[in-house]
Amino acid sequence: MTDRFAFAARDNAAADKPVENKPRWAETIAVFSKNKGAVIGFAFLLLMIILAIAGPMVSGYTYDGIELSRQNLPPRIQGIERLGIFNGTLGDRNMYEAKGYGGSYFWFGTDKLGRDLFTRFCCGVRISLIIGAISALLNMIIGVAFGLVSGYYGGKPDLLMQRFIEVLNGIPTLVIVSLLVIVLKPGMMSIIITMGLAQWTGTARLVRANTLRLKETEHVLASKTLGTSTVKILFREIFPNLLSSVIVIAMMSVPGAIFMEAFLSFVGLGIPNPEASLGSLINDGYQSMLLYPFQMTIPAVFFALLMLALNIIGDGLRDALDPTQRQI
Amino acid sequence: MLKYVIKRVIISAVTLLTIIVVLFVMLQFMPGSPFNNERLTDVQRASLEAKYGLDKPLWRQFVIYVKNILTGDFGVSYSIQANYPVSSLIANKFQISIQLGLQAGIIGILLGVALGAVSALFHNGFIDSLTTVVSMIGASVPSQVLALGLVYVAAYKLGLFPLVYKPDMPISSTALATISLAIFPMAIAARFTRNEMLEVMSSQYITFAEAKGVPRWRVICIHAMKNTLVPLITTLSPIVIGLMTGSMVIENIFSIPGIGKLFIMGITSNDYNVVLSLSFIFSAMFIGIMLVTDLLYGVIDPRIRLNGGAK
Repeated sequence: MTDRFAFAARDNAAADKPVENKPRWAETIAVFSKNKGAVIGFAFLLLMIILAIAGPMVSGYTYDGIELSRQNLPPRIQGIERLGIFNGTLGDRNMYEAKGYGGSYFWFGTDKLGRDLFTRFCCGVRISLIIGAISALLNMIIGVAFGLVSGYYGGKPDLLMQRFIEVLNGIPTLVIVSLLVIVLKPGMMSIIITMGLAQWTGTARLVRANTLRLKETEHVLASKTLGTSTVKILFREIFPNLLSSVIVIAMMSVPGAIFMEAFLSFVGLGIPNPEASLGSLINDGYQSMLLYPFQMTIPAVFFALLMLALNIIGDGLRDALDPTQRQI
Repeated sequence: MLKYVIKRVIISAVTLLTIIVVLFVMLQFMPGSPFNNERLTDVQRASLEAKYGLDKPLWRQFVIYVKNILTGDFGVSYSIQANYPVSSLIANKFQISIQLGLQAGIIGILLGVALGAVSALFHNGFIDSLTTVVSMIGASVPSQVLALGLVYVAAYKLGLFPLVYKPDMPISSTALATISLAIFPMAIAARFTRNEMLEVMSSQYITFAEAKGVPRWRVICIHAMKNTLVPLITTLSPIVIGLMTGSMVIENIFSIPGIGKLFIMGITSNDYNVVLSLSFIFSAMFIGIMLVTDLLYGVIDPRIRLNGGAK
C-alpha cells in the first residue's frame, strides 16, 4: 500500500532554515540598496555634500572675492581642456590668455564680478542643503508635536486642531512664504523658518492618523494600566512606532524646501549677495544667459539633478521604511 | 450631503478670512506704505485717513479693509504705476495668466492621463519605464530650469520661437511657456493615472467585463477610465499650486505681462499694495478651486461625504 503513495516532496531544508532575524535598520538598508535609482541618487547626494563641505577649501578662491579684471571667464579644467571642452574659450578666443590669467583655472568659470563660480557653487549647495535639512527638521518637530497631541487627546482639542490645519492648508504656500519672507527680511534664517512653518500640516495629519490607530494598541493600553505618564506613553510607546513614516515624509519635504528657496531667489526674496544658494546662482546666471550661458547652465543642471536625486531617495526610503504611504 | 457642503463652505470662508487678517496685519508692518510717506501734505493725509478710516479704532479699520477687499477696491499702486488703482492694474493682466494656466493645465493633464493609461496597459514595458522616468523628472525638475533650458535651446539657439512675449504672436510666443508649465501637471497626472489604472485593471469588475466579451477598447476607455479619472481630482491641488508658482517664474522668464510677473515686480519694487492684493487673489482662487473640487468629489464619490470629508 505504502509504495503506491509517496509523500509530496517536502523541502525540509527550507523549512528548517532559521529565519534570519535582522535588525530593522539593516533590513531597511537592504531594501533601499536593492533600489538602483535610489542608490545612485544617494551617491549623488553624498557627492554634493562632500562638495559643499570640501569644495571651498580645495578651490583656492573665496566665494566673495571680487576681482573685476577676471570677470565672466568661461570654465576651464585642468586635463579636460585638452579635449577641447572646458578649455576657457568663448567663441574662438581663449579668454584666460586675453585677460592675462593664462595660468589660472576656474572650473566653473567666474561671474560678472570675477568671483570664482566653483566656490560659489559649493557654498550655494551648502546653503541649499542646510535650508532643506533644517526646514525638514522643523517640519518634523512641529508636525509630530501637533499630530501627537491632536491624535492622542482626541475630542474637542482634536476637532479644533483639525479645523486649524484645514484652514492653514487652504492658504497657498507661495503666498504665505513670500509674505513671511518680506516681513522677516530675506536671509537664510527667515527662509528656514518660513519653510518649517509652511510645510508641517502634512506631517501633522500623518502623525495624527497613526496616533489614533496606535493609542488603541495593547502595548499602549498596558502602559496606561501600569500608570505610565502621558508624556512617556507618547514618546516611548507611540513615537517610535511612527518614526519611520515621519522620516519618510520629512525626507520628501527636503526637495520642496530647496525648490521654494530657488523660487524665492527668482522672485527677489532669496539669499542676499554675496552669499549664494543654488537658486540665486541660477538667477544671477539667468541675467547674462545669452552671453555667458555657462553661468546659468552649470548650477541649473546640478540643481535639477539634486532635486531628482532627493526625490528618488525619498521614494526609495518610503518603499523601504513605510510602503503604506505610496500614493501619487 | 448638505452638512458636508456647509462644513466645506464654512472652512473655506474661515480660510479666506484668516488670509485677510494676515494681509491686514502685514499692511500694518509693511515699510513705506503711502500712509507714512513724508511727502504727504496734511490735507492729503487727512483725506487718506478719512478714506481708509485710519483715525478709527483698529477693528473698525479692519471692517473697512474687509469691505474694500471684498468689493474689489485694493487701493492704489505706489511704485509700479503710481496712484493707479491696483484693481485695474490686475484686471489688465488677468486674462493672459488665466489663458496660460488653463492651456498648460489642460494640455498637461490630458497628456499625463494618456501617458499614464498607456503605461499601465503595457505594464513593465518600454513605455512604462519611459513614463516613470519622464514623470519623475517632470515632477522634480523645477519649471524655471526647464523654461530656461527651452529658451536657450529652442528660442535662442534654434530660433524656433520668439525670445520674449509679443502680443501680436499670442500662440507661438506662449508656446514655450506653456510647455514648461505643462510638464509638472503632466508628470503628476501620468504617475497618478498609471497607479490608479493598474489597480482598476486588476479589479473584479474589469475581469467580469472581459469575461462577458466586452471589446477591449471599451473595457479600457469606458469601464476602466471612469474609475481611474474620478480620483484624479485629488491631484488638482498640487497641480494648481504648481501652476501658480510656476507661472510667476515663467511669466518673468518669457516676459509675459501676467499677474505672476506683476507679483514679482511688486516685490522687487516694494509695491506692497500690489503684493498684498495679488496674495489675496491667489489665495481666493486657490480656495475657490479647492472648494469646488471637494464638493465635486463629494458628489461623485459618496464615500467622501459619508465620512465627513476625511481623506
